[in-house]
Amino acid sequence: MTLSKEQILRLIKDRELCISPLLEESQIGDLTIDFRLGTDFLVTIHGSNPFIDASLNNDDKFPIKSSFQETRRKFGETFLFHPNQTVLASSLEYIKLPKNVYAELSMRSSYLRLGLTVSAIVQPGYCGCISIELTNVNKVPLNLTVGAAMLQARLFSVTKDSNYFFKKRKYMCQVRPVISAVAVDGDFRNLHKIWKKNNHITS
Amino acid sequence: MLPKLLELHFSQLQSEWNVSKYNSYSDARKQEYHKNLGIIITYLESEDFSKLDDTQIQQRFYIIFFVFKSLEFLNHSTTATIPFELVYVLELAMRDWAPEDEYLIVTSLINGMNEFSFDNSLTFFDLVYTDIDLLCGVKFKHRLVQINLPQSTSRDYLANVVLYHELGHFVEKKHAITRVIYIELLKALKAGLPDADKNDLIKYFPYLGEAANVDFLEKSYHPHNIFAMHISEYFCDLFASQYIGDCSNYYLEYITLNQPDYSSTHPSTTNRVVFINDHLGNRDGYVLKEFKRIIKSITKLDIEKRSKDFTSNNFENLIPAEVTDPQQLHSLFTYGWKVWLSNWETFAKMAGIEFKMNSFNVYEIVNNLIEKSIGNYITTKEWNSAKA
Amino acid sequence: MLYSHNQENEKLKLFTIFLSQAVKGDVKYASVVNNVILETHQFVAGQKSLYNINRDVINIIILLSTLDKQYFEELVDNPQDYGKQTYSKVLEIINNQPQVPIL
Repeated sequence: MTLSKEQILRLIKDRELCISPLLEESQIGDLTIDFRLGTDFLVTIHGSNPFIDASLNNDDKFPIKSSFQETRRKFGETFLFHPNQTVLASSLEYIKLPKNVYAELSMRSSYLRLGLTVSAIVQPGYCGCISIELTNVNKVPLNLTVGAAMLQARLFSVTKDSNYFFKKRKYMCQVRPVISAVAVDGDFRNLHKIWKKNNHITS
Repeated sequence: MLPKLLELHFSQLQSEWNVSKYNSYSDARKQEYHKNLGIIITYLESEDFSKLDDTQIQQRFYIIFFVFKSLEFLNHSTTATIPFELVYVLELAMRDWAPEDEYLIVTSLINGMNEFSFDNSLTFFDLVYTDIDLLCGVKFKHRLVQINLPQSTSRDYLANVVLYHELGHFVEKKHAITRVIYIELLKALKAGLPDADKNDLIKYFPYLGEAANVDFLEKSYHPHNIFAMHISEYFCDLFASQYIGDCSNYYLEYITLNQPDYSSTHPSTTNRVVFINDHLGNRDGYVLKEFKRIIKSITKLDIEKRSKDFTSNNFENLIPAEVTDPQQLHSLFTYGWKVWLSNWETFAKMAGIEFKMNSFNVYEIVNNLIEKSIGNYITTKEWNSAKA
Repeated sequence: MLYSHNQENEKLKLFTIFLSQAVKGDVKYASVVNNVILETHQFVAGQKSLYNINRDVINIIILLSTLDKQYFEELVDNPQDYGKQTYSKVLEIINNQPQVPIL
């Protein structure tokens, strides 16, 4: 069930939902909440690695972190986004969702029209700034302003509580985009073992 | 002195300038500073160094040094990963003691671990600014101060409490506090002190127990002599404690392995910890009283608590703290340390964390929440100011 | 006392450069050194103290007052009366100081 403005405001008042900072109450619309672009970015760089390695099959010769560079802008400054560039960013707002509420993120239409896309789901109980992967599908660069309300989220309630911290999390209370920890997934160890076995690699 | 050596020095500067001259800064003050450097270089380019005497060559040496150092500082400030939340709180503390709007802070993230400092090379050297004004007709409205901190811990607010101590070095140089304490303590010792006061003095400065050392120190002041260095360190610890209480003691005790002996540059860690604990516990002995008297006489400011505590369990609920008063920003560090030193199982229970946390999880949570709390304060303040 | 390499030493060196220019008759440099010489006189005469002399050049003032207290005590209060002879004398006082070892 989509949460209404009244429900959202009540959750904030009861301190079950945290949005910090909430610069304007008008960010909370009838069915959506506007979120602003945050100050930190991870941009892909063309280093010496031939690819971003989302596997364990290369003995960590091409660590993911070496394909990304951190950069920051202050509130009100701009970030230049090149055509076809994908950048990891985060929301200015830090959120803590109730255990029975999740959020679906999308781009506000004024930015969608500029050629920016985003898609993310935020799990119930999540704490942190929302990590977003932004792609400029336009043919021209975009100059974005940190603090601009670019994103919107719909909140949905679920019938059963879910504790986000029931299991160990890769990302704890993140306040900036973090390089993918995909290779830490337990599945990759199994896949790596299968690959080694099939290729008769003993070391 | 050969003019050719000045030519060499200047050629080096021109080479550096060729790389830096097209730098641009979003901060208009830095842009103006940068423009002034260009004017200086243009002036020097117009000179015939072969016609200069030794004194004039030396004069230009200082100016070239100034420009080099300025470029070094400005170039660091174009890097895109500045921990501006940290700079903001340090600047707030700086304004308590240097309210003039003449200092421009830049930061440099360096490779060395535990390499925290404030570089004041360009800050307290009035004569070089006069030199530049008289020779080149350039007046600088602002002076650059560089904060150095390790790249690896640039977002580690638990470790970065050390920067309050480093800010103390900026303040004591600005007000020449060490120099006065140096003279006054030696004068008092030589004039004769009551036993209790003398014992207190020798406790913190053990080498003053020997008359020969006292005579030597009195006759031979040097900013790097042991007494001057130790005074400076005690002052900086006292200075920092106004903002972060005894937090810096924790980190200090660890990185020095609670050093019981003094070195030529630093008092023993045990003494430094006692000094601060006595101050915080209102157990001022002779040395603490003299320090505070002299600081007040010079600066007209008291050594006092300059942070506001706030009761919050927001970190335990995994959300940023709500800061409404700028002095509370300094208390975020003490809050963070309180959480770090607390029982993590209790913390996890309050936070609703069901898996067993390791130290890195707590480290991430505390540092992220301190940063976000500061960031939120800055953002909200700027937004509300813009609306008004 | 000459300090070994540090910023206070550099300030002293630049001050001597200014003095040299003042000796040559350059009034712009003279007005800068006049302030330091006057404050040194005021310091030794008890009109100013450690707590209110110029913070940036405090070590130069203390050094000068230690090297030749009598000279600075006997100086007049009016910097207009300082001339090449004064600047040469101050330069001589600085140049004749002993090296400072470090404890």
